[in-house]
Amino acid sequence: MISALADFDPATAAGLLARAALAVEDDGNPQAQAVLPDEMDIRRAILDELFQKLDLDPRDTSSAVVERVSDALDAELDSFVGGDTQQVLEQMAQRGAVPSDLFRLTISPDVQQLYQKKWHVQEKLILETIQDPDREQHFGESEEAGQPALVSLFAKFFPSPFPFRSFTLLVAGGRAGLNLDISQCWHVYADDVRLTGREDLIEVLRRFCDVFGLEFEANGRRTKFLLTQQASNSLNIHVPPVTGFDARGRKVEKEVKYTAVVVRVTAATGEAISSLAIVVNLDRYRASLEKHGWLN
Amino acid sequence: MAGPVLYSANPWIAHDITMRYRDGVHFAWVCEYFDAGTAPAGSAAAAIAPSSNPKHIYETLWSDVDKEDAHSALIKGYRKTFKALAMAWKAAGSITDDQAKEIIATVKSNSWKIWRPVLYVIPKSGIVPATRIHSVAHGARAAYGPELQIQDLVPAEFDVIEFRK
Repeated sequence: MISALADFDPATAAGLLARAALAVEDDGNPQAQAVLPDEMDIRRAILDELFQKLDLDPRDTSSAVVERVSDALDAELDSFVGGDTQQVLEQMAQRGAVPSDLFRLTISPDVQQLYQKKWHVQEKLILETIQDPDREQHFGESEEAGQPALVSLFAKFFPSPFPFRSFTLLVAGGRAGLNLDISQCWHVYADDVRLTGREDLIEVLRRFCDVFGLEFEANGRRTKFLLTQQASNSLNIHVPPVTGFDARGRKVEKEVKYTAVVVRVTAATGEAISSLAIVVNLDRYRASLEKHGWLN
Repeated sequence: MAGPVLYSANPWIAHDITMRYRDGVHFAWVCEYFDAGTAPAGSAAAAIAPSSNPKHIYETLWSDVDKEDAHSALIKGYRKTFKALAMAWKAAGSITDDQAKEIIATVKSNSWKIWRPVLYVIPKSGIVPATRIHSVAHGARAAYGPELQIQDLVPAEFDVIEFRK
């Protein structure tokens, strides 16, 4: 503790120290301006004490000396910063307000299964999309009714020398503090899904489902896309038989491979929340990946 | 020759903190030249220090983030500045204790992406009155060349762009 600050309450002392630190870096910064009547004298006393403590010459204005004084002020400021940094970040993460490269990632085995032998490449793209997205969208815990909660979506465009093969990777998952569990990862190609670039990422997923989704029934509703569902029981998804027409034009059941994907999170209240529920026609999706040269 | 546009290179987190906690009112060091380093010898721009040259700041930040340079002097300096700013704003009562803790936790975190550079592109004609653009006194400049500040820049007055090298 700097003795020049000993007579001040911690809040005033922290302010004095912070403004002194800013003045050392840039005395033109408006936030460095003195607030108390005798603040310039106090600031001088703080700096004199630090110069003495560091065994520096107060007349030396070289950048190396300024740096050492600035470091010392920064270290002194630390004693006024309360709270556990990690805990603060966890709380911010609940709101989706932390930088995405701080998330601890897990990726659902279903996602890995989807990309099979290209998984080693796909995994890198997922990490790149989360850590350095073109666009990201986060939903906190207390959003409006009907909005997803604790869900994050990311999108990144991956250009190819062959424009036909360029795609946007759409990644989505559920959060618990700084943990992010990725359960969805889709390649969105321009010739499959019409996008203007102005859609939010929920709308991108919805449009993806328009093309690759199958209708399903969940808790009495029939849809291709269920935005969110708060339920004490887990969401039950039932996919009705897919029908088509045979060579004679008769309606027949078709065998279709599909995957049902839901982002499941638990709210602070303990309530289970299911979001972004979709059922993707894997035959159609894999055909698109093959057509665009991804699975080759 | 100085053009109709001002430039300011900053880490992305500077813009984010200002938008989240300062009602979008930016304090920005600005420059009439994007790249003072290519100015003709003898011109005012040629006398601007590299540490005040938007292109140099942008490239240095980009490189430090790209290489995840844990000893980056620029990032270390920004960390100290934002911590001090958070404490000063809290002392002034313009942010809450929780908000100050959030700013400090973010800048002390291991995130690299928060330090990626962004460029503010500011049409001079939009800064009304023009006296809002302050010329920095010689003693406070990094070198002899002109350096400018705007203390109350609002989002409607500039564009924020990111470009990859």
